[in-house]
Amino acid sequence: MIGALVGQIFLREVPAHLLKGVVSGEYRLFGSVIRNAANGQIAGYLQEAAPLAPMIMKSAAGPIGMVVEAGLDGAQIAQNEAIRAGVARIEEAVGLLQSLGIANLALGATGLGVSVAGFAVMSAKIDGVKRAVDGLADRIDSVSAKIDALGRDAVELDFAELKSLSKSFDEAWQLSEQAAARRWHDVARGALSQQSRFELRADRVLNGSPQHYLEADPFLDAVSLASALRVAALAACDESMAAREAAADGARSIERLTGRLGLADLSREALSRAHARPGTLEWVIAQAAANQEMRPIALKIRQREAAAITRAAPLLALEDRAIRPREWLEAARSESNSPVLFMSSELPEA
Amino acid sequence: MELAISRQAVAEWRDRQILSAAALLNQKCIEARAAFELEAEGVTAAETIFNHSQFAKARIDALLGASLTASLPEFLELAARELSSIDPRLKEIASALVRPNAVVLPAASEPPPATHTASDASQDKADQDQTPSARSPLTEIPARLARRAARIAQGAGSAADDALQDTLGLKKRLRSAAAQRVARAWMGEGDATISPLQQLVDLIDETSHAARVSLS
Repeated sequence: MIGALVGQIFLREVPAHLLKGVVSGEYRLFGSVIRNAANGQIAGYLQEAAPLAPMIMKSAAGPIGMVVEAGLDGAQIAQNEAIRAGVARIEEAVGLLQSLGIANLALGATGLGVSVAGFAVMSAKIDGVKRAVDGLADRIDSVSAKIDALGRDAVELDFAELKSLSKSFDEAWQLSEQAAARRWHDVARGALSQQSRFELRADRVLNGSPQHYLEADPFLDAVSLASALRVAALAACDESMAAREAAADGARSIERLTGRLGLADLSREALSRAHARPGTLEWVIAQAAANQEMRPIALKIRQREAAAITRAAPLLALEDRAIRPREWLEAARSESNSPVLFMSSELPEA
Repeated sequence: MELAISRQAVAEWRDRQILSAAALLNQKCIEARAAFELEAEGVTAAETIFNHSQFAKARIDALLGASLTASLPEFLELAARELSSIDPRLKEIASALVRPNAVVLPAASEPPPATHTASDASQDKADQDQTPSARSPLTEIPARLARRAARIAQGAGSAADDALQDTLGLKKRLRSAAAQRVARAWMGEGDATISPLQQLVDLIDETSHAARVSLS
């Protein structure tokens, strides 16, 4: 069944007319959903698949990991032509994600669609977010004090708990269906608790002020990770409606924290650091530089919100096709070629 | 999902309007300062020697007031139209942007009189009447000398006036006062008063908040 799904229901490639349409502006990407820009009609859904994992690992490892892996890649390419083809596929996939403008979204903590990442990938993502939190303490004294106030040990424990939930989620794929369902329900409950804890931390660091956004950003990523795990766990045990509600709840949490923030706030903070005198050309240049500096961060805020809102969007479409969410996830997990699967919103002809 | 997309569109609208408002205000301030520069070339020492900051305040406020009175309604009208285009339900909320006096500009005041004033006369009298115990501190001596020099220069030609202004650094002080007025009163730099820029930001912020709530 799973093999039949990929290639028929789930395509390994985004149709060319949609890709062109996204570039031309005829179609727009909102989270993992491709929509017609004119009438808002959904054209299809994107879902991350197993081959995305090595790219996420590289991305999460950061520059040092990238260098090490690049060296390994070089040796392997010389030994094995098949790996050369694999690298080419990855490069092609990165190109696709970049052309859709979602490379950072897909490779970052947020993810694309329902998370199908195995424990190694989730662990790498969690470590990446944890490193960002650790980095805060060295950056600004006041923030360090804030993190201390939150209790660094408690933060460490929360990340460890998120990792263990992720491992538990992954292990459940090896269990019998009933045991797996019980395990995934437990993971969903635990992930909700972690989502709430990280939400509280993000809220406290943010303190209602855009001034602290950069310090709150890793905690917001952690909210996103926990929410993604919760949705994935509920989807894996075919709790479609609960998964959709969990996705909506995660989206509300994230939007409550960042919905009022944007480029204008981040740019104002950056501009104040430039000490340019208002009413001068120097100020114009400083404003442009601040906008440019902050635009990727503002984009991340909006993309994270959109990803959370659309995380469970394909589940309704799956119901229309009488496909269980677990089958959808299994198809994405067992895919070996394409890092991103596409499902059209149009029902296939009977 | 449609409502969430509209809320994001409102957030993007807010970013665009706040950044555009700041850029518009800054551009008008640049133009006002340039116009002020030209005016400053023609002023005499007598017009500014005692009250350069008052002079700069009056002229900058008049220049910016006239300029923004003309351009702000157009800016807000466009912003309201853009917001309404996101979702027809936002039309009423958007109308708050174009209500009269949505932004209150600093009231333009008359520039201070250029001639010898009553306050100058009383100050001269004070200078003459000073007993040793009531004598002003040493720091006031240069100011007294400057006032007398200005009166002398009033009767002399413009060359003498220019020389006096150069000597006393009056032009520099005028420019500095104008720059300060622009930065603080109009662009809200380090000032407790609510500048037109801050009023605009607040207006856009409140409107976008109301829009987002109505789309929830």
